[in-house]
Amino acid sequence: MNEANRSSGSGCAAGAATSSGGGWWGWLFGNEPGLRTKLTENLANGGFEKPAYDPGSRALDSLIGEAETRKEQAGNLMSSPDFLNFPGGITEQQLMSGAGAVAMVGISMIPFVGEAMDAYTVLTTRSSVDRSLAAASLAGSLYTGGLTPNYSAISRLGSEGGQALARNGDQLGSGVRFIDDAPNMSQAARNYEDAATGARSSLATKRSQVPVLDRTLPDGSKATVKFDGIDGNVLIDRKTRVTTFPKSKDQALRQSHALRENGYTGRWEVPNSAEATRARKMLEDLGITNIGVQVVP
Amino acid sequence: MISIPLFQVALDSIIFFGMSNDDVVQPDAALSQLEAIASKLQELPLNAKQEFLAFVQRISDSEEAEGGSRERIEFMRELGENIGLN
Repeated sequence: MNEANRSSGSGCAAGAATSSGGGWWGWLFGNEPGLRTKLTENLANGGFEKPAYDPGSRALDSLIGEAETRKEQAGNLMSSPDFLNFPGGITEQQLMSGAGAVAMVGISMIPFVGEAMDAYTVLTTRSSVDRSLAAASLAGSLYTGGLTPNYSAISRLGSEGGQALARNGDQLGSGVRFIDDAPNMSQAARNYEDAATGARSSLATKRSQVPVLDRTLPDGSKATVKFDGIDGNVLIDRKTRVTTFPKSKDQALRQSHALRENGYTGRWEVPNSAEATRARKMLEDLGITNIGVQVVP
Repeated sequence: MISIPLFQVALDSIIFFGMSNDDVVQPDAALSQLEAIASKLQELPLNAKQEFLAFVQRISDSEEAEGGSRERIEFMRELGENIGLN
């Protein structure tokens, strides 16, 4: 902000604060004398600058737009290939979500941006709880000159950043990563596989995500092996039916190899005891001992 | 009675997913489809399962008589067992 604008903004605020509370200032802050005194002191001490601020006007829209733009920029930066290239394999969506939430909190520290976010929540959210908490946060910020945290930003951090960390926090550095799975099977089969422990879906792509492990091929290159879920250090493969084709046996051997290479064990979950018997026999015939079988109707 | 063309579609799909090279169909995706097909075939009534297996037997015999691929014929002859219908 240039000097002329800064003078204009401060003058407006000071003038409003010392007025009788009429106009938008009075509508927004009321006539409570302690509040006006506090705001005046903050302005006099250079505690914050107050841009022209008219709730529901272009100024509010501009602030919200700036916050959204910066959030998008932060998300774009963190989703670059170099940024993703570290052990643990946090997915792009998790980074976008977590980074966006963290960026939103950072942006809320800019004078009046956090307050604008709270005002936006008050004006637009359907949840009465969120609306009340955002209004209380807004009042607190205005009373203290923006020194208190803003509810909307912290709520965003809690809901998105927290989820992103919780989803992946216990898998950092473990070699497991998640990839989107194409919707190429029937809904009944999809429902069965998606019910595996640790199964999840991507908010961004609306697709199921499956855990994968890398295995080393004889030529030293890597290939991925897909599973359907993860339960602690056990990778789960849910099978609607057990087949015993050569490809079925190859898959069992690939899974066993990848599990051993990455320090995991596996579990096939099948819908009934007949399938479990077929699965156990095939695994035994192949000499595979690090994959168990469990009936999960 | 299930339509013969539908039996043919099922058989062709099983052979495609079961025998295609890994660079044609990702092997985990292929197996997922084989398991889905197996699941549906196992839901058929007993007489329909028997009709399907008889159909597969006829096709394999026919291809053998015509000098077809040994690998493909073997695949069809083991299909019932591998898919869990026997």
